[in-house]
Parts: sequence; structure tokens; C-alpha cells
Amino acid sequence: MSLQRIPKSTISIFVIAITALILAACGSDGPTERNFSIEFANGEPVGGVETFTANQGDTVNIGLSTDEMATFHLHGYDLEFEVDAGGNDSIELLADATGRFAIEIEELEQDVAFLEIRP
Amino acid sequence: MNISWQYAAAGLTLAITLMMATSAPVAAHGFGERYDLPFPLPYYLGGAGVAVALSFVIMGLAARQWEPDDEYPAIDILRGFVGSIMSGPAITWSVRLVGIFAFVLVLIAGFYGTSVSSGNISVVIIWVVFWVGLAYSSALIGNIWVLLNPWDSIFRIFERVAGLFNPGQAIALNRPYPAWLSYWPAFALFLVFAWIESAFTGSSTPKNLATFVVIYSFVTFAGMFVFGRRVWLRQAEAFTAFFSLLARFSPTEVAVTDRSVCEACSSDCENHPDVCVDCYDCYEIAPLDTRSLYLRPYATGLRAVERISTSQMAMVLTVLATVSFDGFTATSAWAGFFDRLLPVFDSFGSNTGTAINSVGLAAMIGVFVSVYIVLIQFVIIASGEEQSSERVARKFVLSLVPIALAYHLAHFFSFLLIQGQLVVPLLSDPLGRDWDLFGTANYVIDLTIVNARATWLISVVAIVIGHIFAVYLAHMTALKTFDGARAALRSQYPMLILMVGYTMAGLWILAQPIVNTE
Repeated sequence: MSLQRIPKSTISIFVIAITALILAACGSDGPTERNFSIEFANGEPVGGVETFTANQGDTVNIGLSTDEMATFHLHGYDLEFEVDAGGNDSIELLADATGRFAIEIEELEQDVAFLEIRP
Repeated sequence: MNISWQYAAAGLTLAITLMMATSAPVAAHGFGERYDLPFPLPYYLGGAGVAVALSFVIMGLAARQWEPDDEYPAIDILRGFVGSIMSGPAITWSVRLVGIFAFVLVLIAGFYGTSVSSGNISVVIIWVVFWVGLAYSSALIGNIWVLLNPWDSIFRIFERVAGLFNPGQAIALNRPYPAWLSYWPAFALFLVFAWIESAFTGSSTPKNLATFVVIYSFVTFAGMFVFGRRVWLRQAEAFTAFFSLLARFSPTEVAVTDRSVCEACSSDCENHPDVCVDCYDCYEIAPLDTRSLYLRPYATGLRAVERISTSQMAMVLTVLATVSFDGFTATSAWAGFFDRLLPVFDSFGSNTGTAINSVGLAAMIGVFVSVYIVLIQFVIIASGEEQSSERVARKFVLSLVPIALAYHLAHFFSFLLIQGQLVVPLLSDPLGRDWDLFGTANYVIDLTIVNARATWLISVVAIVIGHIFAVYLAHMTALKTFDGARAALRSQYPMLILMVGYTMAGLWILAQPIVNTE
């Protein structure tokens, strides 16, 4: 192998680039409370399938309303809320796990929103 | 023909048929959900930039100093007392028993367990432990599938038992394997597996999986019976071909240190002046004191490009396309195609999803093969030499493997750590019947085990490193293929475009938010 012949400058470019990547991705503000809502009507979410974003450590509250009986399932966190036709409820959680999680209406196997928790 | 063999085969057939007939009814539910956050822009652009910059650094270095070199440092790790125990039958057969146990568990859980995929251990064994976990360990540690392969182990047991009744008589027919078949059976069977993995929408239903395992078992046992175990494993067993391809990247290799043993076995071994390397046929028949396990630099096995046949090249390109397709199907770009194709494939009813995915997979393989073939023409033109394009294509195909491998590892990193945790509760309740054998049945998956930032960092570093290996390997191959360093360097500009494009495609997929089709 000839890898030891790679000059020091190359290695330092690599190290600097990686450090820059880490720094660029850091820097979020303290935990906050985030409120979102999903209104499900006529078989689809009003305003289309949205992506809600929050930071790790935030408190997230997602209001749910629907014009037909529906079970809202937040994947990953694995929370289920059965809401009657015309009823309301809300998902409340502490966003401790990062990731992109679908919120699905179980009966219709339909994604109505995504919740992205970023580090 | 041998009576005990016939009874054994009939018994096995009867047992498996009974299992299939008496098992639980089908119903599916999601398994293997992905929670990955898309790559943020700095990682995406940073990774791409570093990959491109380092490519040119390697080209620059190569232009000045490099010469083709087949030598590499290797350390024998089986030498001495510890080595003789590690390679002895007690250890190897313990590993083999693990493989057989997992195989039997997949069949029992698949046919008799719950139809909820995330509550059935068969699904986790196949898609998490086998497809992802073994891919990781094959690439990063070595080819342990050779020991875990249950079809190999079971057939060996049959051979030994039959040997007790009829000493000296082989149970296999050992018909001559037609040379024109080459590695095409392994390619074809891998294609079927790739279709199940990334196109067939019922691929996480336990009963479907167990049924596929049964069918594949019949094919494999029949093949070993007709052509002999070793020949079939080498030329036709899809997973032996797949995992040994990945293990070419790994830092370990088996070697036989006696040339006379090497002469007697398969012609496909990588032959060095005094040893034959990564040739399991030879290793198996070699006397214990001529067997060695070497530690070597990563990717060394991908430099051995002299004996790659057209069928092996087809297999490699299919593996690359499948790996990319798996990630691509979770992007919104694919969801867009999917929605547009829905009305066209409406007549397929409940198989519409599978039909569209099949078209997508076929198209992806088509694109990979055509792009590669066209690119090889440019490589030859750039070199300024007259060379057969098929020969050149066969030689360069392995150099693309590190990019696919790095993408595969990045794509499945958080999946392995999150879905892999399912093994803990499922070992206590493998069939989903509310058992609690080891007191771990109530374990809940911990999503916080992977930090998103760590995942991004590991992914981008893996992809950049994979890219560097690929550029390096391709250049080494060029030096051996073309006359002189200048021709080799010129030939690598088109290759570099392909590799940067391929690496960027992987980064692009990782930067896409995951969406579900179906």
C-alpha cells in the first residue's frame, strides 16, 4: 500500500473539512415549546402533508382534529390517539429522540404529517 | 444409489410440507421503518467537496509515483496454539450450529409465529441480522458466511451420516458442472433475492419469507446433490457469491500455503507465487498445517481482478444497482414516479406496488449496466490503446464496490442499531405468542441509542473513504491494464467522472427526506 505517501497537507484538508462539518451542524438554541396541528377533513390533511420540525429536548404539542373516526399513530415514539368524528385531541411529547417520524392514520394507512426532531 | 440418503430427503420434504400446510394464516404489518433524518446541506456539500478534492490528490500522486504492485503486507493470525484451536472443528462447528439454529428458527417462526412482522423473529433474522448485519461483518471483518451457511452445514451433516452407513460412497451425484453456466446461477438467484428485498411488497410477511427460504433450500440442496456441494456453493449459491464479494474488501483472507494443494482444486483461486488465497475449495481439502488466516490491508481482495468473468461482472453491477435502488425508493422523487405509474399498473390489483417496484428495479439495473458499458468505452478511448471493452469492463468492475459498500453501510447504520434492538425482546418471544423465555420480552426499542449527528458524521466519512478506495483501486487496475503510467492516468479521467457521480448519487439519496410509497 502507498497510503503513507499522502502528504500532510492532504490530511489536514480532510481534518479541517470534517471539523467544519461538525461545527456547521451545531448551534441550536435552548429547549422551547412547539405547537403544531393537523386537521383531517374529506379524507386528507388540510393544507397537504406537512413536515413539522423541532429540536431535540423541545416539548412538542400537535393538535389533532378530524371529520371522521381516525386513529393517529406517531411512529417511532409509537403513540396512538383515537379521535371520534368531529372530535379533537392532541399529541404531547418531550422530543428526546432525533429522527423523522411519520404520523399515520391507521385505518387508511395514510401519512398525514411528518415530525422531524433535529439534534 | 444410497438408501439412507433417500429416506433423509423424503423425511425432510415431508417435514417441511407439513410445516407449510399447518402454519398460521397471512396478515401483514409494517416492519423496518426508517427514522433517519435527511443529511443537512453542509454534510452533503462538504462530503461531495472532500470526495472530489481527494480524488484529484490521488490522481496527482498516482501520476508521479505509483507503480502496479501485487505485494501487500499480510500477518498469519492462525499460527500457534490459539490458532489451531480457532481453526479446529470445535469452534467451526459451534459457529455452524448457530447458522443451523437461526435457519430452523426462521422456518418455525415464519410458519407458526405471529403474522405481525415486527413481532416475529424470522423477519428480524433475515432483514436485520442476515441482510444488513452480515453485510457489515463481511465487509469489515471477514467472510463468516462460509461458516454460518446453513445449507452447507446441513449438507455436510448428511454427507457424514451417509458416510457412516455406506463408507466411501458420495451422496452427491457429482455430475460435471457445465462450463458455460459459469456464475450465472448465482447471478440469477441473487436477482430473485434482490427483487424480493426491494420490489416485492410482501417481503416482511413472516410466512412469505419462510416459504421463500423453503423454496431456496430445495434449489440449493438439489444443486449440491446434482453437481456436488463445493461446486454449487462456489458457482451458484447467491449468498456465498454476495458475501464473498463484500468480503473482498475485508481485512482477512484464508490461504493455503502448499502449492500442490492449490493445483488440485478450483481454477478460480487467486494464485500468488506460493499460496492460494480466498479459495474455500482448497482450504477445505488442505491439511490443517497448511491452512492460514491472514490479516491484510482493507480492499486488497478487490485488487485481484484477473479472473472476473462476465457473469461475475453482471452480479457485481446487480448488487450495486440493488443497493442504490433500496435507498432511492424512499425518496420523494421515487414517490412521484410511483404515483404517476399507479394508473398505468392499475390492472395488477393488490400487486400494483410490487409491479411498479419491479419496473423500477429493472430500470435501475439497466441504467447501471448501460452507464458502465458506455463509460468503459470512454476509458478505452482516453487511454489511447486498442483493448477489448469486455475485458476492460470485467477488470474495472470491482473498483466500484467500495462506493456501494460505503453507501450501504451509511444507509443502514441507524437501521441496524434501532431495528437490531428487536432481537432482544424477540429472543424471549420469537413467535409472538406472549412468551417470556429470558425475561426480555418487554424490552422497548430505545430510539435515542443513535445520535443523528453521529450518524451523519459516520455516514459522510464512510462515503468519502469508500470513494477514495474506489479511485485508488481503479488507478491500480489501470496501471495493470494499460501500457505506461500516462495512458493509465488518461484512462482514469472518465472513470473519475463516473465515481464522483456515483458517490454524489449516494449522498443525494441520504439528503432526501424519507417518504413511504404503498
